[in-house]
Amino acid sequence: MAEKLKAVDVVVVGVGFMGAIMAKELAAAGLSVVGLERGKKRWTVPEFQSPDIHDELKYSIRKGMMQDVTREAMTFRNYSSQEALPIRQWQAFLPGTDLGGSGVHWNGQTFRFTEADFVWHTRMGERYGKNFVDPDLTIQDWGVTYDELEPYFDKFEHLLGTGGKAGNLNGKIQPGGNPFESWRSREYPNPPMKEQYGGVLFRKAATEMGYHPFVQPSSNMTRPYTNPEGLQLNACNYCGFCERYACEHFAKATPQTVILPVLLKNPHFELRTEAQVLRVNLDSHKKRATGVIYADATGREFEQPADLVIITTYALNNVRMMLLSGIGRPYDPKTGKGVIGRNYAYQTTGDVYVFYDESVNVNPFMAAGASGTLIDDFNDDNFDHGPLGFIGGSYIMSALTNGRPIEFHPTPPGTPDWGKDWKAAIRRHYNHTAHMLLHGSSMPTRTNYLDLDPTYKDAWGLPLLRMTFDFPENDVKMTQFCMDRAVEIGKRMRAKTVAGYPRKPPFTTQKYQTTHNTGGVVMGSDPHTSALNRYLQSWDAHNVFVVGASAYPQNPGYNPTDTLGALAYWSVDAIKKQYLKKPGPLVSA
Amino acid sequence: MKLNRSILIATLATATAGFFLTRSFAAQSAGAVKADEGRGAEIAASGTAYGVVPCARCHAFDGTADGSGAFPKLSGISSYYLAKQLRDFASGLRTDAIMSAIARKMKDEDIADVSEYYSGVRGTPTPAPGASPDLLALGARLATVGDQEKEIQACEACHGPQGRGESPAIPPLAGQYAPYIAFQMRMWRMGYRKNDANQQMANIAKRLNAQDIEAVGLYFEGLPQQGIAKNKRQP
Repeated sequence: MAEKLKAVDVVVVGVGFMGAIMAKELAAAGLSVVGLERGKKRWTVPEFQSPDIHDELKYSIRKGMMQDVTREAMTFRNYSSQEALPIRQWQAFLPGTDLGGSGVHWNGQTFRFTEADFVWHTRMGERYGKNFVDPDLTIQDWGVTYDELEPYFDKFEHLLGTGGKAGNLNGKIQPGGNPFESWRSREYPNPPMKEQYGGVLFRKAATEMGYHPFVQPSSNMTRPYTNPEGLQLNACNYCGFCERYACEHFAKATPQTVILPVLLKNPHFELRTEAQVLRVNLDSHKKRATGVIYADATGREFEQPADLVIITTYALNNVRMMLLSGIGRPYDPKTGKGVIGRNYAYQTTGDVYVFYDESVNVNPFMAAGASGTLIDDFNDDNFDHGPLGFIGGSYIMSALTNGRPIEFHPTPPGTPDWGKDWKAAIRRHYNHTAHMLLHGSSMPTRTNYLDLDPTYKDAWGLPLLRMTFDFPENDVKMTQFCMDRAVEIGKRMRAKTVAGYPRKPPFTTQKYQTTHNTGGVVMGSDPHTSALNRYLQSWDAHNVFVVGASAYPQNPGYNPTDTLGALAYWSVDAIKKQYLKKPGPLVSA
Repeated sequence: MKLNRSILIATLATATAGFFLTRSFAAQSAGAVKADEGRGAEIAASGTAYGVVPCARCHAFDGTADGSGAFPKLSGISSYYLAKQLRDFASGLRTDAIMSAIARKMKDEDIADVSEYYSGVRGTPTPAPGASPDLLALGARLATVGDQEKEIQACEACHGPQGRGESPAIPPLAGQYAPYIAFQMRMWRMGYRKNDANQQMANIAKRLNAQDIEAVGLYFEGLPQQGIAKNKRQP
């Protein structure tokens, strides 16, 4: 029997970026808040200091900061007719764990989604006609608009200290920025990052071809910064150890550097680490949550009663938490009915390697997680899809986030995979290769979804999450089109060899692509096709809010974090201004 | 002209004759910058006719300075770093009552030659300073671990393990005189010195109190100097 603890106003499940934001705002409003984090505490000092933090074997290869697959794995298959098997080593995507969550090991790439993204279904119909979109794609609108979210994007970017150059200030296109971005009310809090040499070569070629290159918005500090919470960050020194690592310099915006120290000083907040939440409890009518059950590090179970339950675990785990708790109807791909697990999407990425002769020194090690130069000309709805027969797009970015010795060894096509010639090729090309990333949208389909695995269980005896996913035909067409454009740019960069590797089905979990898993508990305006209303409030249990990229109905071609932060501030604002005054559904179903 | 690196290293390792032998080989390895190490040695010893005073007067001919701690050791610091400091003294980006006036009289080639010379000399080891164990422990903690409350990272995250520097841009601290380190930290803190990338040092220095600064200086002075900068030039 779980030991029943003293009731609190709010329990936050998962203390990562979004958990920290939600908890901080609600504790500051005077509510008693408990944060339950399955992992351990960790801080810039001492845990993230060098030389240990630059241990590539520990963090990149052995995934030292990621969810422990020996306790909580997930299963995967491409199609419903296959038997899903557990993922025993993270490769394709890397869900983080411990205090701060994936916000500790992210790269700091900070893009806003566009006005079109939030009304994607409407926009596609208006621009291309009702019959244009593949009927298998279950795209839909978000129930919230860009204009409504703009102040919250702004707030989140100032929390992070994002560096960039505005491309559209209140509707006026700005030189040097991204002309395709949606309007922003003011400049970024910090200037853009320094460009890498590969970016300079890319910029030149892209400009010659009439495209619109700009420096990637980054939450790696470009100068010393004090954020609105009063926390100070140092400038990034481009060491090339962002993704999969923590920053030892207080130079990357992470929960630890931008919000957690303030949260933990609030006496209304209590952090409990090594607290594994097993489920959300519901009342007898299943219309209201009464709290959560969690197990501590010794396996002892506790019931934490609360008036408000905020679920802020990793996107995939949010879906699992809803399924384990029985909140919302699970999605059934046969009937298309049900919402939990529906509209799972990913990201359609691809790589281009641009090989130079030895006179061009690229210096890949002088890099940050978000120091790329890119074009947005073939992303989103920034170009006419009419003649092309697909929707969505990719940004094409000259990006080397590191030159780390174990992971970074580009070799041209035809190089043997091992042995003396392989080693010679690595030596030859290490410092003379530029890279382009295609970072593309992912559209949901009826057959891509998440549910509970019938066979495999975690260390607490609970069913694992099961992923059924493959790249839809629409996205395969999209990424091939963008790859062709990228290879053209590569050739214009006057390289010796250009090698493009477009993503092709079947999706495999064995190769790293990106940790941008979205959907499964999506937001929207129709309870039949969404699990949450526009405020991220469960349609089924009004005192449950689910904050994560799990809320995205489909995944645009931009990195998800900025939009996630905007949604968190938008949601918590609605809780503070509306829900607390009158607890109940904020939108009538 | 490129010198085979393995020959250079082997020669350095067996160079018992001290800095003179080292000097002659290092001069041959000059790459894009044609610095004349021999001429640098002459300026260090005798100054120039147009009023550059001999560096050795304060920094000693082997770069160990006078031991007072008022003047820094220069031996083994990369020529890139030394030249940048001299240029910054000359331009006013870094100011110092003595060095600003000297640097303004130096020609570009004087700066290059002198920097080349001092980057290649081996100083004389100096004894570790006396310090209380508590102070040394504080210095060691700040230098190797940092301080979460003050939001500062370990000094060695940039200045290298055992304070050996990250040549060429980040100077070694091992063996440097504690009073000099402390003086510079105060200069950063008060805003008199701001010639690094992104005001990194000013930000850190502002979060350290007087005791922290003293402790860090004593810790680094007590570490053995690592010898000659391996990569003296800008890559």
